[in-house]
Amino acid sequence: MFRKIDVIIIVFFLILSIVLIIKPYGNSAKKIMLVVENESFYIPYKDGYFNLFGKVKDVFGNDHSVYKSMEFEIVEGRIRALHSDCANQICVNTSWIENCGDSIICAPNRVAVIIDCKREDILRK
Amino acid sequence: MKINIYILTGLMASCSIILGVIENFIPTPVPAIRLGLSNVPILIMIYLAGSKYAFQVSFLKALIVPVLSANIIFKMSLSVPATFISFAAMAVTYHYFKNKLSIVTISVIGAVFHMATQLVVVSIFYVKGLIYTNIAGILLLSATITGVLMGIIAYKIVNHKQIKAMFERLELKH
Repeated sequence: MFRKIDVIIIVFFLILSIVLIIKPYGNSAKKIMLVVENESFYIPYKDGYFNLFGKVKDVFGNDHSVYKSMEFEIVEGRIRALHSDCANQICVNTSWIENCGDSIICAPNRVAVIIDCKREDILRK
Repeated sequence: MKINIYILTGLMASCSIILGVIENFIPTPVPAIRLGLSNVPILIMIYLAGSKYAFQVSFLKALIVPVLSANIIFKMSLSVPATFISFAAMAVTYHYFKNKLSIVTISVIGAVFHMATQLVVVSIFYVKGLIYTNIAGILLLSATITGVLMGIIAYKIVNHKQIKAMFERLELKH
């Protein structure tokens, strides 16, 4: 069933995936990046609940109009989605995220919450 | 008794659609991933009946599975390009390397292309900034593992004596 070339190709894909998972996604302080439709901004990283029902304040105090039916919870630096109105509920079923590069993605709502540890400010890109 | 190839194509397409719908209910460790059970009939058709009939199966599967699951427009925008590109990758690999590569590797290549197309479509049209996350690695790992599992299932079916005999009796119209 398996020949040498098959094993080489499968092992190549496995090694590539493990490299992509464990490669460092930045080493600066953790920030929460909220990606909504075509804009992305950082939101304050403090314990409690936040929702996207109306306007969302970013770390610089600017208001962003979001209007998505989603709610998130932050406890001891870990984030999870509490509620979403999408059909698949993939974001709610994603458990707590806490490491650099982890993400909660709700593709139908076009929302993603990413723990970003990159030093540079991606807002300017 | 001779079997018409179109009956078998319809049967395989319905098999693929049913598997594609019921795999929504199979829980996986990461919520975004799926097993890819509906890829097995496409692989069987590529190996035993030819790429033309396999394309018909994958065309029906890509259009009908999203209709039977929630969120039609979103699922269809992911399913149609992903299924076609993964079918094209599998058919081209089979055409050029069928003596060198086994069915398991072709299944893995199909799964990886399916995942990569979906990731590209999501990062272009839905959520930008996925390059800052490790989701590509998680999806690639799961695509490789599920591709190997589905390839082993397809290998068992393709090498089954009765199924091989059934396809040899077909009236293939090329």
